[in-house]
Amino acid sequence: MSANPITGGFNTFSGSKYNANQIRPPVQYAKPGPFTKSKLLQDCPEADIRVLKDAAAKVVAQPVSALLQLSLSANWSHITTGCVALDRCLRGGIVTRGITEICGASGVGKTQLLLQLSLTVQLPRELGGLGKAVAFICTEDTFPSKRLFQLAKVFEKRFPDQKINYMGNIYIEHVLEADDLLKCVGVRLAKLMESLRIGLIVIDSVAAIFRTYNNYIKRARDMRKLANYLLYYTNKYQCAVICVNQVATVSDAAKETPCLGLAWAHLGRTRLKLSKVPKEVKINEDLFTVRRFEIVYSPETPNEVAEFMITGGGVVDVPI
Amino acid sequence: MLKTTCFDIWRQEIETPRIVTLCKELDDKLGGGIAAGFITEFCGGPGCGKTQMCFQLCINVQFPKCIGGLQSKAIYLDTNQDFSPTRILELAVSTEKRFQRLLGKNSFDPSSKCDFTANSILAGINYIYCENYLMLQTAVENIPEMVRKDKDIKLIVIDSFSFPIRVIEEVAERTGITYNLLTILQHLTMEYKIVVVITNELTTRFNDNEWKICPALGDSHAHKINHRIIVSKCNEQKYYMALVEKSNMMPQVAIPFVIKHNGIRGIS
Repeated sequence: MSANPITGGFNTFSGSKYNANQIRPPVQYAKPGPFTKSKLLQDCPEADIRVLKDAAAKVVAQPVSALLQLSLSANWSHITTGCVALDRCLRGGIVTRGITEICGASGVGKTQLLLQLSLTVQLPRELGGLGKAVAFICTEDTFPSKRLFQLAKVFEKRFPDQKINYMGNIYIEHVLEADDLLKCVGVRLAKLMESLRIGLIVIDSVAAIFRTYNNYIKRARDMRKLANYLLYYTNKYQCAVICVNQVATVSDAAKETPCLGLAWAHLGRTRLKLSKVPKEVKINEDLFTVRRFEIVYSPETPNEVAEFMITGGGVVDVPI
Repeated sequence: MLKTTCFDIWRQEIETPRIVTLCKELDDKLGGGIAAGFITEFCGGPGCGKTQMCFQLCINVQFPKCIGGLQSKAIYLDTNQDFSPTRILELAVSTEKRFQRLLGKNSFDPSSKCDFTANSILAGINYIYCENYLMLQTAVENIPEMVRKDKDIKLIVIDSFSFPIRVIEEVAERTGITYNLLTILQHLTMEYKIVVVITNELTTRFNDNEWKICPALGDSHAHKINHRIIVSKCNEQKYYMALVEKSNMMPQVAIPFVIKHNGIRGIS
């Protein structure tokens, strides 16, 4: 570990390591092709077009009916949160399918949970991880490397048999604007996904980037573009994607509503909400505020609530 | 030409296969369940029960004939990765248990074999993931072939229908693609007596100087679909509401329902 606690020991995927100019984005919105507008097939007899379409269907749209195997397959794996109550709520952990949104007020513990997930994903499957690395995109503050170092030490003590270079497997990038974020996710992240086994992509946060927009139509378009890049990765590389959102008080009736509106809400598969509870727990002279973890919606779990605390050891259960 | 009378069609309509939703009030109002021969749309905000309803219908289409079901299969087209095999497994297991209890209570004709287990339920759902609208188009155009090969398919679910189409920036193109897809689906429903269920999202539209929340994909799409049920969630009371907004057989009516661990149920 070199002396500089902010950047030392970290690999970043912007700049020197990967030549961004040589990379084509993985998702190309193809113009309506031969089946609709192209002159190429205008003189083709109907039967031939049918043959082409059948051949295409055999390649791209094949049904899978062994749902039991599917449920156990890598596309629907779980990453443990490291906390029993949260895992119970989530039925195992964060799912490697679709976009998981974590929203909450400032200081409630979103980044802490993300740091813990960045470590647990590196654990082997037997311990609830994926044995893969992390791509962490910061848009607000600089990456809290000191805190991560502290947590990594906790993990080393907790799992002494695992010889994992926790800090070395987290790839960090800072972006401040929407265009840069889209380029990062569409181009640079594509190359990273191809060369390394990434199990978790984090964007902390999306709210900071998109709340600055004036043009709501362009905002919806850019959010959708971002989401489509991310969904391409979750499907192809069986990784989880977590996007952090902020909350705002819209009215007296709607306190702490997630930002970015309906357009963003429809892009996510799971929405998790963190909030502070007016309850404190004393452990050895230290007072810890209890936090509330709520599953706002998810395809596999009902609306459930759990409580947790944040200590030196990370995100932990509230002692009974 | 013009040989069929309204009476004939009414006779057919009564005999049209229907899939129950298991919310009794909704099924009663729909005339027995979601009907074949029509495109039914479930529209709503995120987390309001559209995907859960789709899961429930995929299970219910497989109910054995001996209990009045269709004993058929489903095709599930997933476009936004909302599908969850673990949730389907949970539903299938509790459905199998309920069926076993029913079998125990009543004596059914042993010659009518009902292989209705969690495994058979899972095997009866054909899952296709469509990454973008081109793949969705390919899959939908291939469905007639699939249905010809497997006559047991009686339900097609597209969840969500609007997600891959809203990516298209040009409205004219969007309308054209929506129109094409819905036309193919309509032919399917009528020719093979299949139930087609699609899900749609909500968006905000600027009308009369104010922003209103309304179903996505616009008016041309709204005209093409046959039935629209808008689902919403009542947070405080912990139940969901299904508002039948468009239907040629019933007036607008709102029906509450709940989503439990064993699926969609009505409120007694």
